[in-house]
Amino acid sequence: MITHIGGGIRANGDEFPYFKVIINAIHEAGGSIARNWVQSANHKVTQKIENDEDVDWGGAVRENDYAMNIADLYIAETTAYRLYHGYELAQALQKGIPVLLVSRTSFRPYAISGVKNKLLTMKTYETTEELADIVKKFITAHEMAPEDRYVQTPVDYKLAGYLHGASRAQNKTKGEVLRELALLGLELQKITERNKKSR
Amino acid sequence: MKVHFTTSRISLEKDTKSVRRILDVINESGHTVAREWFDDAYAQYNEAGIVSDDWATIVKENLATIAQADVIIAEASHDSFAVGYLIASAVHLKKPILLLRRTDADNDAFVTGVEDGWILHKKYDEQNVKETIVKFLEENDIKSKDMRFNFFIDRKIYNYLRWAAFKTGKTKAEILRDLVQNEIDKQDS
Repeated sequence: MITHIGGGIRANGDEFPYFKVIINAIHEAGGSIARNWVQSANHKVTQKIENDEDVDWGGAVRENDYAMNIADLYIAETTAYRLYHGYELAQALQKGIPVLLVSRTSFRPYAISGVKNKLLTMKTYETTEELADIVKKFITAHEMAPEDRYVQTPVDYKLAGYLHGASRAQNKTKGEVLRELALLGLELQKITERNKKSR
Repeated sequence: MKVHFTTSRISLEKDTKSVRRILDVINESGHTVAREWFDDAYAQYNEAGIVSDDWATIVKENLATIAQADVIIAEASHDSFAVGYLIASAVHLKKPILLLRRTDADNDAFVTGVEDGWILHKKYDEQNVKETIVKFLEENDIKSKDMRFNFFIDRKIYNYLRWAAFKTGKTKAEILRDLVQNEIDKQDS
């Protein structure tokens, strides 16, 4: 399960330990992160980058849009609530993505507590252990069995011809051919990211 | 035009003057504030220290108002999770949105990076607030613009329209416009 993480970070960086707990909990539950922005946000705080000219918010938003498009789940730590994360919440719900909002303060005084949606879960927590437990339970509860995922897509004549030929040549179904191509794409993505990091 | 105005609850406490000015400009421009919530919320806040204990109703009413409004104006100088939610809801419904932030508001705001075609970001102060809002309203005022769209109908609807056109001497398009106008009048009354 791919999870997109959102949430506000105050200038003093108080929220970072909690985001790290969320990320670890997601990994421990067998999930992955759509976009790990926490380190670069930490850098902004530790380097005391305060002027908006130093931060490409447009770029960050575009990357978040991409992350939202590929995510199966959205988790946001909203103790330091931000307008933008309310925006992301609505985007996630519009896309039909289950959402978990966590906070160290009650949601009740805030208008967001009035948002009712069967995809939306709001939980408060006090300790990091509690936070990790909430996240893992959320991930596990929304884990989809492989057979529950189903994609239907139109293909043009050229693609249909290729799939027909490949399916016969490899003695596989067209679905199996497509799955292998998608897995190849994922592997290529991982290699590209590894190469970027090693530069 | 119907203009839905929204802002954070912090604005009730800290920016009452600015918010009232924005509402005045909307009304002075000859447009209607779709939902007059500010005075009641302000009174409630002053009396009880909270804006509401029934957020579910407020959120529902806001979403309904956004659906009915022609444009949205949001005063977003202070962070508000709910305002962000409402803005995204308005974007989803393809409503033009004017996102106002005071010139002295925090520059370090993620929301400034939201580059959606439906959102116009503007900084404002006492001097330019009227001009900023009036310009947005003029640019999005559709009263003088005709719009057109195609949609599919089934045989039953087509036969009805053909019969009604014959009976009334009106075109099928006029009949459809009258039907929609009747529904609008029912809602407004």
